[in-house]
Amino acid sequence: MTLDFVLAWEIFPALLNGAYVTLSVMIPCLVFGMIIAVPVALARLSTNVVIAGLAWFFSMFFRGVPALVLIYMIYNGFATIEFVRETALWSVFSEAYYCAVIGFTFNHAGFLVEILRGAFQSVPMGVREAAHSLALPRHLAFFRVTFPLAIRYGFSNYTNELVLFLKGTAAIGAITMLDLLAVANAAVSTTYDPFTPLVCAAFIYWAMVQIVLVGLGRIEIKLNKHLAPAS
Amino acid sequence: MGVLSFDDTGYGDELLIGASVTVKLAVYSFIIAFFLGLVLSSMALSRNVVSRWLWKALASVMMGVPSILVVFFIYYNSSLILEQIFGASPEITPFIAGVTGLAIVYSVYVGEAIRGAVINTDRGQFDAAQALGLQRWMMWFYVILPQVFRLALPGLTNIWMVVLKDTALISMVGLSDLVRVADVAAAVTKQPFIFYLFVGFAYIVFSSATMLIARQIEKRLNRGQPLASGF
Repeated sequence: MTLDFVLAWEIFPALLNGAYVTLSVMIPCLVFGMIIAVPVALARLSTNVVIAGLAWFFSMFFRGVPALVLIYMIYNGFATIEFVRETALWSVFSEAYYCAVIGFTFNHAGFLVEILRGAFQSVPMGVREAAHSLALPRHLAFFRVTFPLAIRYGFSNYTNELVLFLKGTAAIGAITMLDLLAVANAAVSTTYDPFTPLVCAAFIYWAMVQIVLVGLGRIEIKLNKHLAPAS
Repeated sequence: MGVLSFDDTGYGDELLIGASVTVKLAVYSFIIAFFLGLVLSSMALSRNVVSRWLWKALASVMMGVPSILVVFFIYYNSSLILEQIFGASPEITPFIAGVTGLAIVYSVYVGEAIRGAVINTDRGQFDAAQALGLQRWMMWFYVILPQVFRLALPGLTNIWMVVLKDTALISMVGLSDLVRVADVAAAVTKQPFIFYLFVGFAYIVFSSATMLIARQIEKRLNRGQPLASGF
């Protein structure tokens, strides 16, 4: 039970390929998740009870259901609907990749809604009143005042969610995707070495998480430059 | 809804057994993680540089690696490790691997939550305990920790929610939990949406139920706090 460096060297390209699959699922989800989450977060803060309620249900449902159950539902579920199988939709729902992206987009969006809601709510009332008293139109007040401040307030929560999301994508192996964890597991069964492949995969996951933490940490420092102690 | 009935044709009884496996897995993991986390937090707060360094390394690894990878690692390797140390090993079932893996990963999160709470506890409380001549263990168990749990509770509740949802992933190791049972039932009956939605809502019900309990505990821990919210 020691680290076999020769084996590690041999399987490393395959593992990096797996990491590429992991990222190729993750990155579209970040974009689509944000596109879905911003309007839902605004709806969540709406004074209209019905709209706010629907948005609340959206975030509650997609945060509450484990991502694995969600992607099983999409991958195994839509295949049984005849309408889906007979139309162009089938080319989407028959591919594990698209199902994983759709499932994780909604999972990620559910968490983003809550992060954005918290961020919007932490913008001080006085700032919004100041924008109002300057007679800024509503949309300008939102895009020039509220939104930039909200980004700053929500940033550390976003970093946390990104790390959780990156680790959560390990579930896509369950719907036949060959992501980093699935490649490592396959290497375990072909090489009969239960130790080296998993340690190598763990190292790559760890490195990706560190890149997210350090990269976004840098951005956060830039965003909060005005709060840095004078040096 | 015949497929959810409790007789031989329906999957109601199987789902109930699966649900009990899921709940047991989550509860055992969280309880062990809680006590391990207490130990880890004392390591994190120790004056000893080596123990603080060990804590930092452990926290970085466990927070940077998917929990399911840790579970796979334990599932494949723990019997070998135990045999090397003790000369014999019990059979490592998916359930044991799941509980051990989740407990180890989330003990680090618990440790971090408790560490933060101890740091945020009023320094005067330590001084007061010392001024009364309390012994160290009395200071911790009668004075500090009861206040620490008030501060750590929101974080601990979040960790519990994440543990609960992470149990879904353990089905990837082959555990017959709620998700696995639903997956089998969906494949056999060709009615996937009923089963996956059932499982999804079961998870939401579990977490909502614990939210209610957490709120009760919070009320009790916050008794005697000036200006406590909820008045």
